[in-house]
Amino acid sequence: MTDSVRATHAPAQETAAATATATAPLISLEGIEVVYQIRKGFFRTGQVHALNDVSLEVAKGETVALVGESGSGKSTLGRVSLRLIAPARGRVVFDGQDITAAPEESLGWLRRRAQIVFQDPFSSLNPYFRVYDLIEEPLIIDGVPAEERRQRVYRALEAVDLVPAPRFASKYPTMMSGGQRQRVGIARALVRDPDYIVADEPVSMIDASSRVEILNLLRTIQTERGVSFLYITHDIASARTFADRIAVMYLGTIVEIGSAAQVIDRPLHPYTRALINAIPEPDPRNRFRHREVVPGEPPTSGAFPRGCPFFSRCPDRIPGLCDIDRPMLQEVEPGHFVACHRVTDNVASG
Amino acid sequence: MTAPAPLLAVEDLHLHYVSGGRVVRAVDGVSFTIERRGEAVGIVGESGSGKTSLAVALMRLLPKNVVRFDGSIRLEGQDIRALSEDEFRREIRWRRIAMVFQGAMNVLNPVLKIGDQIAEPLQLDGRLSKQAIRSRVNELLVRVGLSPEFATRYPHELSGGQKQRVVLAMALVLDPDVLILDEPTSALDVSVQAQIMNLLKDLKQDPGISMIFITHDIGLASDLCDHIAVAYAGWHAEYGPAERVLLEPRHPYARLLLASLPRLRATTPPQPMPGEPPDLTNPPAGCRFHPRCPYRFAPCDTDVPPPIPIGDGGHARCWLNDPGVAGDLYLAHLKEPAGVSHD
Repeated sequence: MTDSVRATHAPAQETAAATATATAPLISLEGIEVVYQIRKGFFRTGQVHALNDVSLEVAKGETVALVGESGSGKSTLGRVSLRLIAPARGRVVFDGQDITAAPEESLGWLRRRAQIVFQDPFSSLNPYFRVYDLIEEPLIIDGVPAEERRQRVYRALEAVDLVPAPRFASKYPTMMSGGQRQRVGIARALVRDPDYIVADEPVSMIDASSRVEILNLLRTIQTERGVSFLYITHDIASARTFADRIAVMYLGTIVEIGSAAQVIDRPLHPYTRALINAIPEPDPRNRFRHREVVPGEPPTSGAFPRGCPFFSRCPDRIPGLCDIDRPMLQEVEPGHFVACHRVTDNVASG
Repeated sequence: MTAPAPLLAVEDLHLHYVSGGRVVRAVDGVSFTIERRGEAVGIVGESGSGKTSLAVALMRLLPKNVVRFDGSIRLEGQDIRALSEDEFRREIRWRRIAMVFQGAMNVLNPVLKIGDQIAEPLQLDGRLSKQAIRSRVNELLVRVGLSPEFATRYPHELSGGQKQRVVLAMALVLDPDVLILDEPTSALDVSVQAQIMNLLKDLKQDPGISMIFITHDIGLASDLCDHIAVAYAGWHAEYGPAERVLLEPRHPYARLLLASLPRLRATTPPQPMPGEPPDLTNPPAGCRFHPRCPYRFAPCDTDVPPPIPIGDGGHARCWLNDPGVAGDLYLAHLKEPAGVSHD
């Protein structure tokens, strides 16, 4: 990795929350609800609620991290923002245009302006395609002339530091390391010059030593090109490194959202606190103490609970209130929102 | 009077495979020690560093394409590597050394009740009565934090964390001294992972199980392990007490790995590791890390560094730790800020 990438790493955390609301959002999700139909046996079907009344905005040039565990709905929300999933309720607005119910045939422009980087760089790249062909393919669909295609493929490879570009262009994905393959995945997203990229766990399947490179690369792309990112991850520590704002999701809802510093240094939702407490950072003293944990596991299917989604595991729950009345997000400091009935107590206790 | 032999002492262990006509040196001269019951050693490494092969060698679950398997594995002084396959199977595997495989929770038999799956080795053993087996199963379930009612449930009725507890109970059924855990929490969410790590801490204390904890996550290793080995390309680049390895790593790879981790409360951003992981079928000459090492000097690209002892019983395979070779460069890398904050 070059020094230029290192130098551009600029945590924009405190300021970004303020600027996020100042400019018009690129993506606006309002009251999104998603329900999946599943089979529960040969004849019966059931419903799984994936998202329950979720609202989120991503400003131009902003990176928002969606942090949560499996089943929290973070990937579903990312796909709704790309209109790969149509929500049952709510509105999806991209750069001022309502795309909630737009027919797929009319979304060609969105497919160019919004891209996704997948989690698995081993299965998301066709092993029979050379790197060149993998990156060129979207441009063929866009009807870009051949000579321009070649230039843009090489430019995309250079942008992700796969240089010399012609050497990497002729390789097959299987000849490359996980980190290099993920760069190909990013180049493929970049080649259409998008305004918005959903990065769905882009580093969870690559080796620890290559992760920072990839995150720094995404950060560079964001600062140099002003691309907006939705960074989906289960790793709240990497969200701090890479994102301006962090939204913590649990069971289909956003339970806390704020600047990266607000959420990590002053977490106010019991689930956010549990998530942060659960992370083992390298420290030889760790082994002498038990970790504070929340009991149980998130329910995997079924309807949303009536009250707070975290009620069944919450150490601070108030029976008779939290299980009946769903807490809404409230602003506790500028840009920092928490959905918890205890929030005033927690603000007081710091 | 001599000191009692350590519980487990692995010395200069090699396990090489042949794959596609080339030799893969998956374990290539690895040494570590578990002094006493209840100690845990962490093997931290990236994919292809040979950490799972080490487990395979200790359990002697060798594939057919092994071309070299030597070195010593002493269990309370007895070299179990020299045992015949028959002796090893009767006396050691599962009885003294047991293992939880990566992803084991996903291969529980879906049509057998949990209790029957845990009891199977005891039934085959034939020494205990039905009654005694049932109470042993119940005891194990309680030990891993489940209630005895789980014995009559089927795997599909369990959550991920509960299945991982069952898999642990299965490994403990014959009361082993050493438990090898290969990425035991990699399929679990962090909040559930923390619960399992707390359980493993309990099992270290009571009944005092020693553990070999294999992981790609050095932070997770610090949550359990008294000693840590940092694996790189079939070597243990660095090995020693957790305090030393985490706070004053002597091998540049360990140092760079720690500096590359995103931290929750770090003041400096994580630093990327230079270069690409090595190809195990064709590892670099000399020090296997030298193509990526910012501290390399004259001998590194030609001379293989031995495990150079460090006063605390650990070692580092890096010439910078040998004053005779490194001269003025001796421990030069320690003089630079590590990018590792303690708090």
